[in-house]
Amino acid sequence: MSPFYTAAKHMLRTPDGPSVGYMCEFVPVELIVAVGATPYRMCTGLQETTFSAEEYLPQTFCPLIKSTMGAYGEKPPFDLVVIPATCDGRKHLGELYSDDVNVHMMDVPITGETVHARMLWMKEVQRLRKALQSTFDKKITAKGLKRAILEENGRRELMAQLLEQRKGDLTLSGSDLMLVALMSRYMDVDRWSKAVNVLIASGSKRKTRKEGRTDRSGPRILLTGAPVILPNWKIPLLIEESGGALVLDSLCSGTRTMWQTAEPSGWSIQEMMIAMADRQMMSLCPCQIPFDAAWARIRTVIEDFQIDGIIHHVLQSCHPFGVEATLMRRRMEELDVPLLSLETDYSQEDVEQLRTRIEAFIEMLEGRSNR
Amino acid sequence: MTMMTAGVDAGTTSIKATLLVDGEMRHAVADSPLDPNRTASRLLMGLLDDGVKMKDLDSIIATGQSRRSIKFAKKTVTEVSALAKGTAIVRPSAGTVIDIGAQGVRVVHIGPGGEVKDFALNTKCSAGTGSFLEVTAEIVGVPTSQLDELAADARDRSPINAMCTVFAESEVVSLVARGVERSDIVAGLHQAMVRNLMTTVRQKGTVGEVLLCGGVVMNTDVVKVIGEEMGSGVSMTVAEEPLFIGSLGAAALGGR
Repeated sequence: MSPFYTAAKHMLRTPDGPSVGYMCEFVPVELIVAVGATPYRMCTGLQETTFSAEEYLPQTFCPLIKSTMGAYGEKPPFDLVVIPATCDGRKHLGELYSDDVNVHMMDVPITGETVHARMLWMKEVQRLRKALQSTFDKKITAKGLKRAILEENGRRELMAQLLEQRKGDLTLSGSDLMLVALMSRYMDVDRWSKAVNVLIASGSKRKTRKEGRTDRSGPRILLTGAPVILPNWKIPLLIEESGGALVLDSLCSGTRTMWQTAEPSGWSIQEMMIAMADRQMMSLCPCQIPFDAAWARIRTVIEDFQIDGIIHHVLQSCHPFGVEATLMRRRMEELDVPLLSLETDYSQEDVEQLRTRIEAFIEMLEGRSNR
Repeated sequence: MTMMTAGVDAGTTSIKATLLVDGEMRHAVADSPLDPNRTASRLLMGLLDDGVKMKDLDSIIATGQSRRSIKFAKKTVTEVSALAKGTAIVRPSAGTVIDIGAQGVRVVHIGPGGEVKDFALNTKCSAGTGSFLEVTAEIVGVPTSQLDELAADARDRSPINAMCTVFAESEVVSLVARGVERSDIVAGLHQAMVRNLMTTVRQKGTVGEVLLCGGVVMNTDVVKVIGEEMGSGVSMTVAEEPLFIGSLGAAALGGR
């Protein structure tokens, strides 16, 4: 795990050379890689910077947006900033940056499942390609894009393998898994893949030798909801400190769709663009409706990973995830899987109250399994 | 052999200890000082028979907000699990327990064996808890234990709109300044406090018969207002020893 811990320490160091800051998982990073720039996910988890952002944003605004705004001020240090217009926070963030910042907004269709939405989104991905080409004055070629897609797919396949191993072996803690996933947005493909391969190899070794496993006997927890970004790591840590076996997350900062590859039907620019657009469209974010696709994934995870209970993370004022908690609760009643929804922000002052909720939830799950 | 188990409920303003000796309950309470560990151990020793030592106990379980500072406890459980277990002992017919403490409101749905089915806790804010009454009673100049007597004389519940303890405080100051009767102000405070705590109750609602416990339910007027808010369809009782449901539950969980 040490390469990931090291990368986490330097996470706030923005890349040298050509770079593109992006917010959220709708952005097809392959295009950024293909133009020769480093993609950098701008979302931050710092509490300190939320305060300085209150100069621009309402005090009750989403902590993630405030934190990000505070961290970079009016001039984020990237050649281009790409912001999908998803939630209300992201929608307006681009407008708050100063006039000399190169911002490209992407229009994300609200209703995700219509033909019209798919066509609009395809056009948006094409528009991003053009913006990247003009920013860096460089053409994105079919060859370059193919290489970028194969590289990123390589990462995704490794994540799929790592997740597959977790079905029978939780030696890698859930918070470490989340860190591995988060760091894929900050480490280059080679460094990240090499370190993940080490984790996968030790998992395979444990399987063949049938030894060296850490048994996590506590209730098996799935973490869903709003992104969890370092250093705001309190929720995964509290789950594990309270005796929960954090099996995996379904967060956009984590593994939610990371395991999914882009699958072009051929290697023409057009076919690759379609595959990327389709993949990113399935980001399963509650800023889109209907909830069905996101629920289908959660349901599959519950079954495949034998989940005992779900902890749903809501960031204060993040209404999409707040409403998602209600939608989930309704559907989960049929499955008899309990849900704990936690609303919090980036402060540490509620840690003990969160701990009581999480501990009580885990005690309740233990009581159910003793029945 | 005698079975002896102890439970310590380390709350924010008081510490409660219960000793269970073959099913017989002994309770003690003290104000929460800066050293909950020492206070709890002193309380518990006071409950033991002559010649019996702490190490003779079959189990000591701590619960409550400061549970982790009770170093001599063998184990900790949350208030949620402790309340469910304690309620199943004193009121087996109850399906829900509502505990209103100094800084916390806890609503727990309970299964037939005292297991937790679901729960809701108040969020960061302490409006709707005992501290709301403590802060505001001070301005009116009445000890909290006499608030209900005073409210009994009220002609009207003076409306207090603030949802926040701090804002309610300034609202009360202005009511006092305007010469509104103290009894009406206190009656209004009770109404405001219950309105706030009901936001926690409504998160999950109640199931079956409700047991009320925690320090605040010793205030008869607050209980009356809760009854009005819940409506006549809900059957509700106040625990006989409302302070000790959590510590009793913790003690009983050690006997499994």
